[in-house]
Amino acid sequence: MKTEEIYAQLLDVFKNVFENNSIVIEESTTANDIENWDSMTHLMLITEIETDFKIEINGMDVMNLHNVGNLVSLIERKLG
Amino acid sequence: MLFNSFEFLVFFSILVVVYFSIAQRFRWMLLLGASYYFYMSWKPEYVLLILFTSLVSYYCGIWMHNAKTLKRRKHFLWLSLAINLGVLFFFKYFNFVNDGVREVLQSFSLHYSYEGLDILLPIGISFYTFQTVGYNLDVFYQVRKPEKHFGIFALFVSFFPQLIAGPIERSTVLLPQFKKEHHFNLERIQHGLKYIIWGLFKKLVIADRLVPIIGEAYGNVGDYSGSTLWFATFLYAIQLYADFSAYSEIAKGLAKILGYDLMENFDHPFKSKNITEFWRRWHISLSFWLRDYLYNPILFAKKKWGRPAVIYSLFITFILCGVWHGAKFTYLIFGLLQAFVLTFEILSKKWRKNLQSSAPKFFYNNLSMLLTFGFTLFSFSFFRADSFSDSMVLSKALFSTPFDFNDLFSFIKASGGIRLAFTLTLVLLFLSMDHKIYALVKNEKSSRFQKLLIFPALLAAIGMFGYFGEVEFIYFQF
Repeated sequence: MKTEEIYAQLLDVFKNVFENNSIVIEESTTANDIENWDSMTHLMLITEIETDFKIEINGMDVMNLHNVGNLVSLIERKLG
Repeated sequence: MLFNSFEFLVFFSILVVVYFSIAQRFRWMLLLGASYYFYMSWKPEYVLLILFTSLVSYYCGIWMHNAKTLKRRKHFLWLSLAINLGVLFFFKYFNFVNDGVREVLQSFSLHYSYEGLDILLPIGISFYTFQTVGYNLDVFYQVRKPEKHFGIFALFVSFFPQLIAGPIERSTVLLPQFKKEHHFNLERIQHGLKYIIWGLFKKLVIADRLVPIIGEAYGNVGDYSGSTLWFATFLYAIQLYADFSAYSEIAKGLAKILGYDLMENFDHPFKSKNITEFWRRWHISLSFWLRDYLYNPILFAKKKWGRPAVIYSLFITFILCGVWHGAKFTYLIFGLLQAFVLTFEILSKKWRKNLQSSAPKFFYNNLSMLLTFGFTLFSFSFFRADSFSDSMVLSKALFSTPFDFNDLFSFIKASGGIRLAFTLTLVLLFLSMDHKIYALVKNEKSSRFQKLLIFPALLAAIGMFGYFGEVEFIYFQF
């Protein structure tokens, strides 16, 4: 899967979880940039990504996520 | 040696001169020596505890990094947690557990006479233990590599500006700063001094002046009605905020003079519109520590549960947040209250969002702020209560006689009438200007006129109205 495809698929997950169709994500986007991105939605986001991309994300991976860029690299790594 | 003492002024002035006159390669030694000296001025032998904690975490960090398997890495993490938290537990909770055991055994008519240990709690232990444990968790989660230089690591554990009461710094932020050379910079020193002046003002002019008034009410909770106790709790909230944020800002200022940046620990918490927001603005270094090293790991370990996982993690986190402050039932209740309200906020998020969009903005915002502040005061009454039985008397009075204004007036009169009115005026002035002055302290605003005027005015206020009885900072007891 190409990075751009991951971004596109991830954007759909974001739209779905945050119930906001006008959401924009880029490499440097953090929780501060998106309304309602709290621990509850973060959990929903991670579980959605797991189902959507068919990967498993553990506590260790979550610790190293600081922005959307990190998230995309994690997905890339997990997809191998 | 308190920040607000003459002795500290001499200590810090000498340190700054020596620090900037020696080569970078010697500076960590100077700062480490100064930090240990600072700690030893309180109780010399307890510095060995800091050294022990530093050694344990230093080696566990390296062993974790060198471990070939995740299982082995986990072993070293558990070793560090067991030792560091074990020491913390021993000093902080041993007597509490011992008392509990004695009571249980006595209720079964079994003889158990051990009274517990007669030892002082090592000052700052909760803070430096959390900072050190945070480092080991960072290495475990591979957020960073272990620090190889033991001297610099020991300095990270004991850096004197934030050793006693935080901010609890992240290893990824503070450790690298010790390796960079910080040149003498007059502008930065001025900036640091602003933090210190503002901190001293909050401590000496606001917080310390309120001590006797709050002490009178909280020392005799049975004698006063709800109105007086609400008033005293309001003053306590101001005292706690002014005192603790003062410590954090003085710490920030001292570190800044030497060239180091510490994190912001408070962000005008009483402006919060809900308790979730409150914890993002109050004792930020602790709540973010709890979020990253406790709440999130529990949450993601139980993620299959869905929403209940959030509530489960919240309760564990806030129970621990409560008892982190000490072994008292009142701290446990304080933590539980936060967890209940935060759970309510999670469950009612959509409902509140709808309400917010339909209600007039001004009305909704102010009412939210007022309710949040009211709850904060109520939970602080447990935080401040001298005992569990006092907290029960307090809660009853707070809800049964909140409008007994005669009692409040006679309390104000007995507490010094005009002098109290003057103190209250200072408190209200402080609350209304806190935001604006702090923007000047942080150099966010640069009105030259205000800048030139405000700091001499604050210094004059400290000189005229400050209380110079060297009252310890409240958070030293944790």
